[in-house]
Amino acid sequence: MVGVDVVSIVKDYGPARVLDGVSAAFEPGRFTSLLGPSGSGKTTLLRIIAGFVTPNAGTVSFGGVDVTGEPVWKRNVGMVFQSYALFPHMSVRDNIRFGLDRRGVRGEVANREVNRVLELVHLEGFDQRRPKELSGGQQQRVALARAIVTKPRVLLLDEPLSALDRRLRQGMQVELRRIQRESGLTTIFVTHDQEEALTLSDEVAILDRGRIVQHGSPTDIYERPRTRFAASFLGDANFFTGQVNAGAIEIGPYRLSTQDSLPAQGSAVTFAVRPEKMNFQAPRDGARPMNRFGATLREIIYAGATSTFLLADDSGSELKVFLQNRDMAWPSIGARVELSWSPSDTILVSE
Amino acid sequence: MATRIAPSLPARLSSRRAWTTAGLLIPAYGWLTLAVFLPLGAMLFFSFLKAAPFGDRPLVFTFDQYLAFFRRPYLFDVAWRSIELGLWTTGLCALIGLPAALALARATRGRARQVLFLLIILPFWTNGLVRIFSWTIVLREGGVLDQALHLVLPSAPGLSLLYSYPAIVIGLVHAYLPYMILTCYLSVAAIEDSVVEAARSLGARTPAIFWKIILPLSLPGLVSGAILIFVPVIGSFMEPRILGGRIGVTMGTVIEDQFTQAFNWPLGAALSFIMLAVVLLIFGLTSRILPGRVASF
Amino acid sequence: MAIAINRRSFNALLASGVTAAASSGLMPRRAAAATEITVLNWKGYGTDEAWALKDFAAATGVTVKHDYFNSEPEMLTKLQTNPGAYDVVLINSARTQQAQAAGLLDPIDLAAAPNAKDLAPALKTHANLMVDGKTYGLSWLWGMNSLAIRTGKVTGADSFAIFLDPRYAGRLALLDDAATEIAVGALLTGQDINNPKDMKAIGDKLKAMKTNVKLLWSSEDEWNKAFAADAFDISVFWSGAAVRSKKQSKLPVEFIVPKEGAIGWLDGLSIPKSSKNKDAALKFINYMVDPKFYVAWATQAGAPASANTAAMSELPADDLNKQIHKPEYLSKLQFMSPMPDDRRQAFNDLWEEVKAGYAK
Repeated sequence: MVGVDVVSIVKDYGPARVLDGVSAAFEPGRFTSLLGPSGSGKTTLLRIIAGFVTPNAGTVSFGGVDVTGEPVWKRNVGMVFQSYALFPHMSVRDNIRFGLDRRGVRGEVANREVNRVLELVHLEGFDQRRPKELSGGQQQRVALARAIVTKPRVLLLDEPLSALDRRLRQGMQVELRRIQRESGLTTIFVTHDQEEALTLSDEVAILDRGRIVQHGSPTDIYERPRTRFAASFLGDANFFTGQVNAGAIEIGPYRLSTQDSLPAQGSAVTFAVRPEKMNFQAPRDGARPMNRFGATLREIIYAGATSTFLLADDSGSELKVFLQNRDMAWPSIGARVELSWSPSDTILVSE
Repeated sequence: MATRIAPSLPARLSSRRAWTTAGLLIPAYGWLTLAVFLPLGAMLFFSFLKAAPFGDRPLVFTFDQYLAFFRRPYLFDVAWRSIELGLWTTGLCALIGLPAALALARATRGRARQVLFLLIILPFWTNGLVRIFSWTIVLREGGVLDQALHLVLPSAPGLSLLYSYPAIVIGLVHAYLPYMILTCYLSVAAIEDSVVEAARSLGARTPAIFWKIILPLSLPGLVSGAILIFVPVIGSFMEPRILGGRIGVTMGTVIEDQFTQAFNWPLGAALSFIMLAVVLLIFGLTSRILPGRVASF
Repeated sequence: MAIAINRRSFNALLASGVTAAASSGLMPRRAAAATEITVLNWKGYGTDEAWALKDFAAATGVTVKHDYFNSEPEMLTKLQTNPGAYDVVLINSARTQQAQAAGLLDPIDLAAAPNAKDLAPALKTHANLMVDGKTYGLSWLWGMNSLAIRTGKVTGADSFAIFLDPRYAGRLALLDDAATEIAVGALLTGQDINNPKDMKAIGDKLKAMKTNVKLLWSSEDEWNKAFAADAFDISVFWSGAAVRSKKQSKLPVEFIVPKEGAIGWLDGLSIPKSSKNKDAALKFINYMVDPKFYVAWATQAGAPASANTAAMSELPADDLNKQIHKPEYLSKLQFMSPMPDDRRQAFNDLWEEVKAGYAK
């Protein structure tokens, strides 16, 4: 169980720079997600850590030892692919045994290990089946078992759940988390699904166009995004642009306060407010004044337990509010309302 | 207890479907009947005659022709030599074809791959006889090979590969190699990159990847290529005749002689069916030995 | 030039011949001037020489079409299965009686063919062409299957025994034809080539040639190519082909009739019973043994020997054909005859066995 460090990784494919000086430290034993849209470089980074791709610059270290030049077969990583990549001509048992066999572990010892991981993934009794006789979820688990049986230093997963349907996915997410905790492997998980990243990870690294935009715990990243991209990629956000004036942000007639430190007087500033942090003209929050902002209600989307409200501000930009349906006392469509939220929920973001 | 899940089709619709199916199948089966089964049937009939049924001779039926191997014991030698030829040719085609298919599938892309494909199937575009005769020009004394050798080693003795067993094998391998390359290519191309990567991530180096992953997954291609090659080769007669000189005696040439020289169609037909039986026997045996591996995964 | 003069005088003679024929009433009447006959023969074997067909058509008004075969069984099959399709067919004298027995042929009235009077007597009424005193084939061309050697490299060749001479290991080419090779074996063992009594002795002799045999040839073209590429020095060869190889391909080959004798063959032209143009067919056959046709053909292209002695004598003295096909050889030749099916089968089987032995 070792940590992984990548330092200043650069990767070019011809004229395109896919990774632009990426550095990150992945703590031993922790589950880190690499989250980003397609083209962000997250899969490339994973494959560089695995050793399938050689970076143009930068280093990869496992437990402090530089492995950048090491070939894949030497790195002792466990990898789970999006397509599972099970060996179609081998049984489940032989699939799992493959890695052990490569390391000289054979016979009874190997069989015991295989049984151990089959139990771990709840697939006892499936060991003689062929991959084509398994369902998607079962193949997933075999791929996982195969990757961890050799007790690798790092477990790498390349969007392994994206081929599963929603229900199965959620089930597998739980399984995955359990198995990771039980085995204690340092795990790096690539996904484009932000909900998945938030659910599974100890840490999340958001990538955008070849750079790590923010790296931290799910709560950190969600509650305190640092850039517009991070704010909008992870969950929804309402963005406001105003001017700093005497310790507050001025937008039209409104003066909005924040708990973040403001830049110099007169500079333009952007901030984000999460839709669930807003409400309609709430009374004072204890001793603290709330931010207020006027808008017109355009539409209500009712979803049973919750409702989403779409509004337009004075300049016409869309705002979103997200509330639980507790008292159902809503304004009517077309009405002018005043939104309010706590200054602590005013998050300054950079572009 | 089984329950009917789908409602049965109305009678009119299902008979219409039957007609449609028949209509689609009839051309294929009709062609098969006309071009394959009828001539084979005629040959089978001939094989039980004493002499070719032309002229006003009465038809005499006999099993004699099928005892050909016992009447003519030298045929055992010839038959074995034909099978040997089949094995050599198939083996060499596999040895050359699989690496070629691997290179084609995994090491080339786009334009380069298309060009290579074209070059590989080029032999199919040339006339078989022309191909074989051009080998005589290359292999004979004073031919291209001989001259090339003397360019490099002027004092070397004359090199003539023509009229020898290797010459026959060369001609056959040249003619049938594309089959093996194409069937192996289909199998190899179906191997997902991620499967190979997974093997690497589990600690396999290139030799292990070849023996444990690529070769087993190429087996269907190798087997179908082997069938496509072995069967025609053991009956081949053009290459043995033209390239083999006095060495070139195979079941194919013996059968051809019966039809063109000896005018003994019954014997030729009987020998052909004996060969067919041997081939079916070989299929039957090998399909037992390679059941799970050859079956689709 | 000899050729040019021959053609001109040939045309003149033909014209006078036509007039004579017209006055004798043999010419087809104008109404039937569009007569067409079909000839069945080997390809390139004299009857389809383009210049000859033109001259023949000009003289008689008969156009000639051709169909070809690649083996004698094929020829028989075609006759059998296409009644009425052929008017003239080339049948080797060894097969004439077989074809007649199958009811395929009409007798030929030699008296009605003016050129027939000059046919060599030994050939005109050769037993192989006759059934019950009637002639079923007009003897046309003859030749020999005998020994051919590479001049300059092979000396003292006067017997087929040279095929067993260890000096020529790997330098022998045999003809892939059962009848011919069994005959060679028969000659070597002093037997009748058409009815050898001791087949085993023949088989042993042929098998003993194994170390000398380099290849088996089955077409003149194949022989020429292999000989030109210096693949062998001694072989069995056809006399007519030897003439062509020397004249056209300029190959250093010499044709020898050894002391045991050689195998002779005689090709005859026959008229199928089912032909619808028998008069025109006979006219064509007569033209084929006309010295003017033969000499032109032989000197231009090269041909086997004509059965017409007058034609042979009209060849120039330095003509290879004339030199090779000496009339005195006729007595040293054993001509291939018809043989019963089971003997033919025995020949085929023995030859197949010998070939299998060569391949080991």
